[in-house]
Amino acid sequence: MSILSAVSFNWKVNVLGKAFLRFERRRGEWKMRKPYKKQNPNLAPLLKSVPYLKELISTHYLHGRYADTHKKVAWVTSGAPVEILKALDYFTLYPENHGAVCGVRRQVVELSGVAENMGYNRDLCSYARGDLGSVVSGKTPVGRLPKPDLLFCCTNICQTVMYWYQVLADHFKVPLIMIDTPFIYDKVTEHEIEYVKKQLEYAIATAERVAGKSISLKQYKKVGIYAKDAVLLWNEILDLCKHRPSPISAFDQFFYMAPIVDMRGEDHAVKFYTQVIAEVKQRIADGVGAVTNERKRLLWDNLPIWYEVRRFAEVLAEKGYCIAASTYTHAWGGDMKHIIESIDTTKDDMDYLLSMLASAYLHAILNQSSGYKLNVMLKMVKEYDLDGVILHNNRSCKPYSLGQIDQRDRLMNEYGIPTILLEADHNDPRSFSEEQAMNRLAAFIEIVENKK
Amino acid sequence: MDATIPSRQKVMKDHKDAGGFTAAVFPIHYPRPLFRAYNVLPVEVWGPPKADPHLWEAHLQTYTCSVIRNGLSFFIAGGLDGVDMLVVPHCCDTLQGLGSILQNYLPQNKRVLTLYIPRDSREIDINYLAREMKILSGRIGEVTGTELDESKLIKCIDEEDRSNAIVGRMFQQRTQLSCSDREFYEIIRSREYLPADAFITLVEGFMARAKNQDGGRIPVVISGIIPEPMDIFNSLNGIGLTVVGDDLFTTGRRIYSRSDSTDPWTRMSEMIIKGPPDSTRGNFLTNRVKYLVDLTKESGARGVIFYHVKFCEPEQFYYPALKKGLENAGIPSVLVEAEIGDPLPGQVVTRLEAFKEVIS
Ligand code: SF4
Ligand code: SF4
Repeated sequence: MSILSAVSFNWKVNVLGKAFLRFERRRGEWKMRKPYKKQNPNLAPLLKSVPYLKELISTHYLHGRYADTHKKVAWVTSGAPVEILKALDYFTLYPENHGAVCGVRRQVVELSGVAENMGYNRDLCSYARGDLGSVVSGKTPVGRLPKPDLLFCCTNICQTVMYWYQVLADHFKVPLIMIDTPFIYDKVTEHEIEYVKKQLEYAIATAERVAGKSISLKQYKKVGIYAKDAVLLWNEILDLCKHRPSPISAFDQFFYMAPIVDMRGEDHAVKFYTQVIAEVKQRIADGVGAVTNERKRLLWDNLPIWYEVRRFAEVLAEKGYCIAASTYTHAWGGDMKHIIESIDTTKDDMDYLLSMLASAYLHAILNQSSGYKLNVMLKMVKEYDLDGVILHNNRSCKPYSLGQIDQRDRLMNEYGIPTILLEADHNDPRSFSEEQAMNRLAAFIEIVENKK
Repeated sequence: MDATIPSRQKVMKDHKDAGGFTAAVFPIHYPRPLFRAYNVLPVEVWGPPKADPHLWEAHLQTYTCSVIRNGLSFFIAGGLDGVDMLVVPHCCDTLQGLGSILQNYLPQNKRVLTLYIPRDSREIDINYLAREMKILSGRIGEVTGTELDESKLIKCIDEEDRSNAIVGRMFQQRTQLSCSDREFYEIIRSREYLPADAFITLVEGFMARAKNQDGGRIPVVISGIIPEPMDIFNSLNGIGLTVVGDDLFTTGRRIYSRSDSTDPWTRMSEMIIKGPPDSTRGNFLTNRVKYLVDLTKESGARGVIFYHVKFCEPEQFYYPALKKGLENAGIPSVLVEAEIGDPLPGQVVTRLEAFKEVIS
C-alpha cells in the first residue's frame, strides 16, 4: 500500500468512518432509552445491543469498502474454515451474508434479474443469483464490495457454493481454494478427517502464496482461541433461550449470528457476544421475554425468509408464539460445538490443530444426513420445551430442504409434534405467496392450540 | 436393431439365476469393475420413465430433478425389489438428499451403499477415492458374503477399459454407421446394465453390421444429462439433425480413459477423476468450455444442443459459461429442457427446428 493510500484509508475508515459509526451507535443507544412510539406491544423492545451490532456490521462493510487498497481480500463461504485466512490477516467477506443484506433490503429480484439475463436459471440458489448479479452490475446496498484476491469455499453447506465460486473465480481471475468435505451419511471417519486435513494443508500453501507471507503458529492459535470463544459464547446465548419466556427469539438470533459468521476468529465477536450474554441474562432476571405474552414455543428449520422476518415475528407474537430455537442459528452447535470445545488451544502442534479444524468443519449440520438433522430437531424440541416445528421448505436450498417431507411426517406421526412445511425461498420473494403462507400458518396454529 | 439387445429384466434374471447378485445404481460415477469383481451386476437407475409419477411426492419436493423423482418412484413401486443392494454415489445435492431419504426413512431389507466422489483431481483426491472404493468394497463383501479376488478385479478393470475404448470408437465412427440416432443410443445405453463382456460383443457385432451411413443430416453435439425421452432422437433425425458428439452424463462423460497405475484401486479412482470434464466433479469452467469446443470441432458438428433436465443445478450453473465459450468459438447452441417420463414437448421440437435453420 502506498503512503498516500495508507493515509487515505486511515482517514476515511479509522478516523472519519469509525467516529461516525461510533457516534451513530451512541445516538442509537441514547434513543433507545426513551420508549419507542411504534413499539409492537407483543414484542419486547429492541435489544440494547442492537446499535452495537449495527456498528459492528457497518464497520465490517466499511472496512470492506476500502479493504482491497490495504489488505488481501478473500471471499468466503459461511461454513469455511476461515481461521487459516484470519491468521494470514485476510479481510474476509461473506457473499452469503451480503446476500442476506440484499434480501432484507429487498434488492434480490433486481440483482437476480441481472444473473438471469446472463443465463442463470431462476431455479438456482437465490444467494448465488443475487451475488452474481451484484458482481456483474456493481450494485450493492453496502456501497461497494472489495475485489477478492482469493476465493475460499467449503462444500460442507452445499455443492452450490462450489459452482458459484467457480463462476466468481472465472469472473475475477483469482485463485479458488475449495475445501471438499465428504458428506456424512453416518459417522465421520479418520479417512474423511485425513482428506480434509490434507486439503487444509494445500489451502494454507495457496493462501500463503497469495498473501505473500507464511502462517505463524502463534497467530493461528490466537485466531483459534477467538473463534473457539465466540462459538462457545454464541452457543451460550442460544442456550439461554431454553428459559421461559425465551429472552430472545430466533428472529433476533438471525441477525445476531452475523458476527459468528463474519467475525469468527476476531476479538470483536468475542467482546460483542460477552456483552449480549449479560444483556440476555438481565432480560431473564427481569422476566422479559422476546414475545411479551409467550404462550407457545416453536422451532424454525432452514434459513430465515429474509424479506419477511419482521412480519413473521409480528404475526406469531400476536398469538403469543415465540420461535425460541432454530437449526440455522445452531449451525455452530451440536457436534461442531463439542469438537471446537474440545480443541486444546494450548498445544503447539499445527498437525493436531488442523486435524481438529478438519473434524469440526466436517461435522457441520448441513454436511450430515437428514436423519441426523431430524435427531437434532427432536433434541431441540425437548431441550427448549417446544410446541411445534416450522420447516421452511426453501426452494433455493436443496441440501437443507430435501428430506423435510419425511422429517415432517416423523415429527408429526411418530412424535406427535405439530409441524408444517412452509413453502418459500429465503431470498427471492417471487417464490413466496404471502396469502398461502399466512393461511398455512393459521392452520398450523390451530393444530398447536388443539394439541393436548 | 432392438432384437439384438437383451432386455434389462432378462439380463438381471439370467445373472441372478446363475448365482450372481444385482445392484441398483443411481447416477452418475461409480466403479463398475468393483461390482463385477464380486459377481454383482450393476444396473443403473436413471429415472425409469415407467414409474407411477406421484409416488415420489411423499418424499421429495417439486423442485427435485425428474431423474431422482422417477428413480425414487420406481423404487417405491417395487421396481427395485429384486436387487440385492442400492448404490447412491454422491454427485450432487439432490443425490445427497436421495441417499439420506433412502437410508433414513424408507423401510427396506437391503443395504444402501454410498460413495463420495471428490470434486477435485489432485493426488489427494485420487487417493481419497481409492480409499472410498476400498470401503465400498468391504460393504459389497458384507452384502454378498464373499471376499474380493484382486486378480478378478484387475480382469474386470481391463474389461472396463476395453468397454470404454469401444464406446469411444463408436462415437468416432458415428458418421460411417448406417443407423438412426435412436438405434445407436439404444446400443450404447445397454451398457447401463450389460456386463462389459456382453456389451463389447454386442457393440462389435453392431459395428460390423452397421456401415456406410448415407449422410445428409447436419451433425450436432448433444450436452446434458440423459437422452430421455428417447424420442428426442426421432425428432432430431426427423428434422435432419444427427448426433455426432456426446457430452451427456449417461454416455460421453463416462467414457473414462485408461489409467497407467498398477494398483487396481488407483486405476479405478483415476478412471473417474481423470474422466472427461464434468459439472458434478466440479471441473473448472474453462476446462468444460475447452472440452465442449474441442468435441464440437473434432466431431465436425455444426452446433451444440444443451438438453437439460429441469432442476439440475450442476448443469444449470455451467450453462452460461459454456454458451458464451461456444459463442466465442463461433459455435451456435440451443438450450432445451425436458422431463423424464413426459412426452417430448412440442416446444422443444419447434426450437430444434429453428436451430437447424441457424446451422444449415
Ligand atoms: S442457501 Fe443453501 S444452496 Fe444457497 S448457498 Fe446457502 S447452503 Fe448453499
Ligand atoms: S446431476 Fe442433475 S440430473 Fe443428475 S441427479 Fe443431480 S440434479 Fe439430478
